[in-house]
Amino acid sequence: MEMIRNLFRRKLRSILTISGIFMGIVALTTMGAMAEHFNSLIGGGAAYYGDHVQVGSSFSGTLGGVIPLAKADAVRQVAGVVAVTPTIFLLAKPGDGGITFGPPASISNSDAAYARYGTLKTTFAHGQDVSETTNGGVVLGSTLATELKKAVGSSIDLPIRPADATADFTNHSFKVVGVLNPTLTAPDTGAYVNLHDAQMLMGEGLPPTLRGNIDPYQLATGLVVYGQPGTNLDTLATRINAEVPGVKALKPSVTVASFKAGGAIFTLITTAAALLALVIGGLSVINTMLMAVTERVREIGLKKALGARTGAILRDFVSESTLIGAIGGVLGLAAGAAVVVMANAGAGASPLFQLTPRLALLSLGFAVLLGAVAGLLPAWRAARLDPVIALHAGG
Amino acid sequence: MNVIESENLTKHYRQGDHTVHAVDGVTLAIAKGEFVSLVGRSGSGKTTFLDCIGLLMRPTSGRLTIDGEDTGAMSDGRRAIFRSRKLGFVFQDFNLLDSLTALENVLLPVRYAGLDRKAARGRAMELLEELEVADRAEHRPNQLSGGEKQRLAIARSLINQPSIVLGDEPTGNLDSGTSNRLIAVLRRFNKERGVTFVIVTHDKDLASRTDRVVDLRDGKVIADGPPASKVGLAA
Repeated sequence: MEMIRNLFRRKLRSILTISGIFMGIVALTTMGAMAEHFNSLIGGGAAYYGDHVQVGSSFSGTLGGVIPLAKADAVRQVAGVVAVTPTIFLLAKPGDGGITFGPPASISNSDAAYARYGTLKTTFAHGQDVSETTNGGVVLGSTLATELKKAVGSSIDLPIRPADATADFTNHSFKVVGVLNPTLTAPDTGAYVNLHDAQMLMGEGLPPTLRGNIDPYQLATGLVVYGQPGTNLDTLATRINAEVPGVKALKPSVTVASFKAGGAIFTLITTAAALLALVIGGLSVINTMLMAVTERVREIGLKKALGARTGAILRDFVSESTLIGAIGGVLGLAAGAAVVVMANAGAGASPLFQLTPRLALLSLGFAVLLGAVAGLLPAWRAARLDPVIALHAGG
Repeated sequence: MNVIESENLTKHYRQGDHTVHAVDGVTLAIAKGEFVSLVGRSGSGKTTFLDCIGLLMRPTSGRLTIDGEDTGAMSDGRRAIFRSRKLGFVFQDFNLLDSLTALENVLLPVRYAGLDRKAARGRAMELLEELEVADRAEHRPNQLSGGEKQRLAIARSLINQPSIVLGDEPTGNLDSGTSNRLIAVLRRFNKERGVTFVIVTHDKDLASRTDRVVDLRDGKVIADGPPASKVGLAA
């Protein structure tokens, strides 16, 4: 109680100091929530790209991005390969110029082998996977389903017609057969059809002059190659490149490293900005507590005369500064959470922020720690005061 | 039995180019239960001597024994514990904390002495009743009169049942009527509880009602005796 009363002896000053911490924690919470969201995406990407070898065409230029299905059979023969799935990757919203904070909405073929060999497990919120034998079905990721307001049984035209679609733009109606649970990474913005449908959409996306000359059912945009248990996937990628001409296998470690590097830089930038705000908050706590020590010199002298040891005086002042930090932290976290909720609500199906329990604890812990550390210097000055000089001080 | 013994006690400090001999070889013995007043002009060294025996200040030289313990070798921490358990303090300007209630002010020394707080609370209420300020227990010091404040300060000085209470001009800020009642209260605690009181004062009335008056000048004891001898009480 004494601590709270002391804090509110100078209400305006305490409120201003708490505001400093408050602003810092709002910044840390919101920037941190953005970093957490980005890191979820990165983590999902790293998990996905780390558990198999991505194989594409080694040719560049027109149609360099496609690979004949026959290459899948050749890759299957490489030692250490346990399964190969041809993949198609198409944009679900072609011509969408909006900047997205994460992977773009995509159409790809469902990969049954991934469930067996992959690490990023997806589960169904509703419905089931598409059938490889029955065409016209689609499974939607959670974000895409929410954004497009689709549920199991709904129809959806894919790719989604852009506002400025050309006359020859075509798309097809699919029936939603399943909706995935959120993964907080790439599958959330995906639409998954069977390989035949994906190839059909790929073919219809070809330039008109090429359509009719190319059989899309013999092509894929890449191959997903799974290794036998215990196989080094980087070594496997090297072996594929050496043994199968016309393909380019990417080492998973290189892909994962590039993902993580991007995430680290983003986290660094966001946390540095937030920490800067907190340092300013911390300096205001130091200033407030130094003023409190100056104003309460006689009180400190009295307490020392009555038997307070250095530790007791230190505790008094550090507790007060810690309380400032805690109040600023709780209020800042609450406001930061409100900002996150409102911003995510405004962003619709593509949330920008992810306020995790880890981040909430970190923000609160940091505020309390900042208050405690900022109080140390003033508390030490208080504790070292000579009781006689302090008792005879004016004021 | 002596509770305070000082032997050739000195306290010197530098002030600019010269050395101030605030306490200059004071040898004094104060017996348990005595009520002693330290008198002298401003700058005579009485408050410095009180700060030394209150363990608030380390003497420059000499020997100081309090309640049988040689204080010379005590660490700062030990001195703090000793102050909280063996000594009580009453100050001229009361030194009560406005952020605490009257009762909390009285209980402040208990915090630092490591004593049972529940028992201390009961003791605090008894003291407040004895001092006739129990009805002010939940008031803040800034809601009390000067006399009430000083009675609180006395209760605070006695809460840890010290053997010695040191007072620095305890009646200095009180009118004569309040001052007289306060002196009576101090004497009562002295007689009934056997607490030793050492009071620095300019108040001749207070000094004349103590057992013994020690007169200091320039840091030295120039007279020491019962007030009847008018020691130090000359105008």
